[in-house]
Amino acid sequence: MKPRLTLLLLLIVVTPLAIVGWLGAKIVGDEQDVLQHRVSGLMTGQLRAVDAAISTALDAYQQRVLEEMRPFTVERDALRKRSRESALSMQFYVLEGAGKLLYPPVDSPGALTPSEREALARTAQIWDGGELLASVGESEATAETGWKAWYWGNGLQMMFWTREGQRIHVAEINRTRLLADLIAALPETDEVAPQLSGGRIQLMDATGTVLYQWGSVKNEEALKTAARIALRAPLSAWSLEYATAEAPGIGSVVAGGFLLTLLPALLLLVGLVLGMAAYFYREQSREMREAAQRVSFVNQVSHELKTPLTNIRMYAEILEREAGGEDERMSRHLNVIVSESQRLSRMIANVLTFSRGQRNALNLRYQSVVPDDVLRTVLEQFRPALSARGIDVELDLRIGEECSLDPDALGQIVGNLVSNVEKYAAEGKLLRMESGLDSLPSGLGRIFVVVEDRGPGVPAREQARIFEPFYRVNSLLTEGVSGTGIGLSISRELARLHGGDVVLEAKESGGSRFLVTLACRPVAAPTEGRPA
Amino acid sequence: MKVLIAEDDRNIRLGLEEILREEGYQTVLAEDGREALDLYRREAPDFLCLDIMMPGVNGYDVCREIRRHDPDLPIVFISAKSEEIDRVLGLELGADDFILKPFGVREVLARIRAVTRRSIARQRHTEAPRPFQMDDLEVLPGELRAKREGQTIDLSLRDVKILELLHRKRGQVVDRGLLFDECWGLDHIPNSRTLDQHVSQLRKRIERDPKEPRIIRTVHGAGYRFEQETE
Repeated sequence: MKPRLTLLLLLIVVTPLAIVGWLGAKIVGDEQDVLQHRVSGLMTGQLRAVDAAISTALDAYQQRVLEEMRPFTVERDALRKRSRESALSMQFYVLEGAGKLLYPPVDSPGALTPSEREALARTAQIWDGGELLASVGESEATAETGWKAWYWGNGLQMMFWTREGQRIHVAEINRTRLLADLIAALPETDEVAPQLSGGRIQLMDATGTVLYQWGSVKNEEALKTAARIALRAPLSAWSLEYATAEAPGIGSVVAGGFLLTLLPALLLLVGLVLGMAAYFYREQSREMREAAQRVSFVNQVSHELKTPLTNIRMYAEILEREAGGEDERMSRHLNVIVSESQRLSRMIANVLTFSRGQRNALNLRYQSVVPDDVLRTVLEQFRPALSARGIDVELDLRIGEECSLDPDALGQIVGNLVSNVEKYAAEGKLLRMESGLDSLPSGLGRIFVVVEDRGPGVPAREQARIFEPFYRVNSLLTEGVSGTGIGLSISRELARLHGGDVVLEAKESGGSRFLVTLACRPVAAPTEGRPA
Repeated sequence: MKVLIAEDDRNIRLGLEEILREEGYQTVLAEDGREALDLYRREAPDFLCLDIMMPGVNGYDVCREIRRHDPDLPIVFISAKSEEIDRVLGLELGADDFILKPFGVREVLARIRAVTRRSIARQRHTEAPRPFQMDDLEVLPGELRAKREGQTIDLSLRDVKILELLHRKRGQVVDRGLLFDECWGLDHIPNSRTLDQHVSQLRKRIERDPKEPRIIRTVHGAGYRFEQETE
């Protein structure tokens, strides 16, 4: 099969498959994005549930702290005892309305216990800056209780306050205990997202330090955050995060969906495309086979025509010789038979040459000949036809020496050009032929033959196409003129095979000027026309 | 000179025979390869025109068989297919030339004359035909050519025979009977018109003025004569 056809078939198969592949990849990508978004939403929802659980645990903790703070008292010993015994709180404080600490007794430092001193050191920024009062003031006027968070030491510290008359009672929360209670209230991973596995939930403080984490992962390094939320107040500085090594379950979900929906469609499409390609290939092969059979048939018929044609031509020429020009009428009639059989011979030669060209079976037979003799023989064959159309022949032939070339190829090339003059340029009434031999430095020669007429010429837009096979100039020029449209194409092919070319040269005045060049080897000693 | 024409198409065979006889050759005809081999043995032709595609024994086989006995016999192949000619050349069967169908008389004559020249050149060492002068025309029998002032004129075998006879009998009248016997052969039926036509055509080619011939002069009622004035 020809490479161009193979390429075409490949394109027909590969292009739709590439488009289908691209569409498939795009659909899968989109599907993955949607799923990722859905999973992320699901995770965020689940993390909010965890946040709610933490909030509930904190509320419960708050209630228990409040119980410990009751009955409200400013009694120093009672408060010291309460602070010492409390599991939930580290230290209790009492402020008067203006913000002055009533307990621990800051006014009499000597009366402070060591633990009270430590407590005051931890909370100094709260009392010195009036932060608690500001915080109480910021809360709603009706609010009776509230939380205050601050940073000290190893992280977030918290205190719970409640208003009692003009006083504010404060409990500094035991951070460790609070964290333990909150963690105890956290749900298991599977409870959070039973359909998602392979992930980890982390509780982190404002600095990103992991306070607690649960859930197992196989690949720690590939862990990526899939969803994150901040806890609600007063723990809003903390956050909850769901991290996983891969979008959990996405691969299987996507692959499953793809397999179930897209793959059968894709396979169907691929099948269709391959089926079409196979059909196209078969049809194309059949057409090529039929074309080859047609060419072979034309070939065979052309060969079969040669024997009867030989008889017609040979006997007409024998009669012509016998008549010896004595009977003018008979000579004229015989001339017609001879020139028409020669025309038929040229047509058959063109068809067979074209057919051989198509099969890459064109070859040349070099012989020692005088090129001008070949040109004269061609012109001699055309003389009756040219003369009937009133075309004068002007010759300037200058290759009298023998050269090694294929005389049949030269005759065929020039014959086609002269035939075109006879058919299309008769109105110019002139055919000019010029020949010459250029010696090349390599020792080889190059013969050139110019065939020129004064006919209507070839329109500029057609000049590039006249050498294409079967192309005929579509104009009044060719109307009603017979021809196969392969003459120029064959001439060029033969000339190129012979190391030359046929070109249509620019001509200022009307008409056409074809230049034929052929590479040849001059022959030193004349020899007879034996095959080289 | 005897030519064996082996060709299965009757009309081509007879047409070739006519052309070659007109040229001055004797002919023997074969319609297939077997007959060609048979006639080759019996008639000992000087060269062969051999069609390739023939029933029974084809042209390739005939050529091979003949080459076993005579590697020098000139053989001209005839074929309708240039591929067959390529094969002939490719097989190195020793073809001297080839004629592709469809061919015309001129092409056949050119090929046959070329082969005859080579054939004569091969025999030169035994019976060398010497060049001779007729008026200002130099006749080269071995080359089937004549020359005048650098111009070459192609001659047929019969033309050469006529000129040789007139030159040999220079100063004498050569009558029609002798001309027929020597140049057409004994088996040819004498016909005045044939002779006159041939001489007329020959004069057109070799005489400076065919109306005032200096080489072949007519002797009314007798025949023709060549006068060597310079000798």
